[in-house]
This record gives sequence, structure tokens and C-alpha cells, in this order.
Amino acid sequence: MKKLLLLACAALVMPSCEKDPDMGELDANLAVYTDYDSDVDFGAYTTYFLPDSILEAGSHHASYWKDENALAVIGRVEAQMDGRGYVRIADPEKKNEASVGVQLSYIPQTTNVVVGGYFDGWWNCGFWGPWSGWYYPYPVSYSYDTNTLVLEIVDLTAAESADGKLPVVWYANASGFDFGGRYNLQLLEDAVDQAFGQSPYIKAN
Amino acid sequence: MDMKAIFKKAVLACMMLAGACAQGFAQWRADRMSLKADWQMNAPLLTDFADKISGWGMNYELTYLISPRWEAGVFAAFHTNHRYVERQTLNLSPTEALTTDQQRSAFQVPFGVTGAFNLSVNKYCRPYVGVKAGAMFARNTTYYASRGLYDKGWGFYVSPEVGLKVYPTGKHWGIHLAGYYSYATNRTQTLTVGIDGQSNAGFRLGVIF
Repeated sequence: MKKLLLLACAALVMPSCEKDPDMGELDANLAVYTDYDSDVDFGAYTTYFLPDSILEAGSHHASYWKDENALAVIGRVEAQMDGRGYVRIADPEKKNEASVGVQLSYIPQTTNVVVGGYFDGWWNCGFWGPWSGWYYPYPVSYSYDTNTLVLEIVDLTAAESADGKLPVVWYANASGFDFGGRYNLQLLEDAVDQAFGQSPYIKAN
Repeated sequence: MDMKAIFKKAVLACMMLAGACAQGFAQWRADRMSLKADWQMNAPLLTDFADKISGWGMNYELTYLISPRWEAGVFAAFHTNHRYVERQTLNLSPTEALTTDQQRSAFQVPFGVTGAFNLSVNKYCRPYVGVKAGAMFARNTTYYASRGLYDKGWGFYVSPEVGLKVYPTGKHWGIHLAGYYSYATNRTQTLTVGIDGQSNAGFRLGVIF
């Protein structure tokens, strides 16, 4: 009967015994995702309008990110678009003359986690002995920051749809942990290069 | 055949089965029962997911020696394998691309019944061949950037094995060594690959008591 109980206990703790991988092995670069409208001929576009600010999405209302860091990211987008043969229209009064509009959005997010009571924990079960999990007799909180940069190209030459909406012909987002400071800015700039790098179809004739 | 005849046959069959069980219980001997607790090394085969060999797993078996050569019982095991995939651009569809590195994790929990045939009834050393069959739970997770994607599923599990039971004192406790292959019918979808059937190979080292 003791052997049977031992086997039953072992079976019960098994689901909590998954060994987590070494997350420190992952690099700090942002994951860059892109998608596009395959019916669109990007070679037909000639000019683009790029605002000098990045829309920053907040929980209640949006604001605009305009400092030198924002300009550095925008500058990287400008360099990529110019490099693909498009001409930037800088005058906001003439933005309607552009073939496409490039809009950038930034979404910072802080995730707060409060745990209490039973908790699987991150340490491997059995490290300290024959225990099957962890619990906190008091609330424990921690937080981590993530950020996402969204790049979109909207077709300003498209016929206005019945509901007055513009088609987004290219979408890119770069997301990952927010490390702050100059290092995080470098990651955002690298992500812009990567987004264009994996989108070779964005090219003027 | 009418319902009454079927009912009579069913009752008769139940009585015969009960009789056989009663006879079995009457012959029940606790010293024929043994528990194996094994550490195991496992490598998933041909999944192209998390196929790096690892030692993050255990196997438990509770068996009964039906005769000097035949053993049967139940088992449960668990194992985790990982694989780091360097940063690369993945084509998720004809228009979608994703550039990231990945940390992949494959977690498997098979359990069910086990049977073994002892090739020798030597007091100190018993090589055997056996087979396990049952169900398997599998969860395959891909971690990338600040995200994680997983899919989980159930499947049928079968695993032939060869092994050796060594009893240094000729008594009930001993050392267990086994090599195995396993196949489960689990289907899971991961970030880049669909897994249809999971094969594994590995070995176990443990104690018998």
C-alpha cells in the first residue's frame, strides 16, 4: 500500500515538474512581425508623408512622442523609405499629394503581477526536497515592462471606401522587453531596419 | 437469442470473472509487488521542435510479479526537452514574416499499463523485454521576446523497452537499467511546425524496492 501511495503522489506532482528553459539565452532584440497586402504594387508609389512624431498609446488617451529619441526612430524610417526610392514630402500642407502615409505608434506596457496563496513558482520542483510547489502566506508583487513599436503604410492613392477608411497596405510591429535608455532606443532602431529588411517588396520602380 | 438468454450469459460471465479475481486475490502476495523510480535521459526524434537530449525526467512503475517470468503493472513518467533556436526570419504565411530567436520547450507526461517478460529468473540479474501502453499529455511551448505560445494535446502512447534488473543481495531491492523507444499520437501546432506524432528514445536508471 505504501508503494501505491508513493506512485499516486508522484503522479500528482508530475504536471508541476516541467523544467522551464533558460530564458536568459534569448537575445534582447525585439521580435519583428510584418504583413502586407499582396494585391498592392509597392513599385507604383513614388512619394510618402511621414509625421515628425510617434503616437504613444495610453490607457486613457493617446499622446505624441516628439523628443530627440522619437526623431531618431523616425529618422531611421525615413532613411529606409528613401533607400527604397521613395521621396519624402515634408510639408504637412502637401501631405495629400503623397502616394502613401507612414504612421508610427508606440505602446509601452507595464505588467503588474500580484501572487499569493498557491503558486507553481519558477524553481524546479524537487530542488529543495520532495515538495510539489510553492505558496506565499502574504501577497507578493512584481512588474515588468514591455514595449511595441507599430509601423504602418497607408495607401493615400486608394479610392475612398464607402465607410471612408484608408487601407493599411503594410503592417509591422516590433515587441519585446523594455530595457530603457539608449539601449532600448537602439533596439527600436534596429527593429525598424529589420522590418524593412524582411519586406523587400517595399521598393519604388 | 432473446434478452433473457443474453442476461443469463452475462451474469454467468460476471460470476466467472469474479471467481477468477477472487482466486487472484487469494494468491496475492505483497512481496511480489515492486516499485521502480527511475531518472531518465530522453531525446525526441523527428519532431524538429525541442529535440535536444535532456535528463529532466522521471519514470515510476508499480508492478506485480504474476509468475517468475511475467510482470504487469502501471506506470507514469514525465520529461522536458528544450532547444534554443537562433534569431532567424520565419515565413509564417505567403505575406507574413517574423524575425526572432526562440526557446522551445516540449513537456510530455505518459502513463498507463506496463508489462514485462523476464528473459532469466536468475536471483541476482534479470534481463527483460517489456512494453508500456496508455495515454500521453504533451505541451509544446515556444518562448520568444516577451511572449510564449503553446499548444497541448492528448494521444495514445506505446513504448517497447529492454532492460536489466540487478539485485545485488538477491533480495527485493535492486537497480534498474532500461533502454526504450516510444511513440505517441499527439498532434500539436507550434509557432513554425505542426507535430503529428511524437517519437522518443532514451534510457532509464533507477532503483527497485
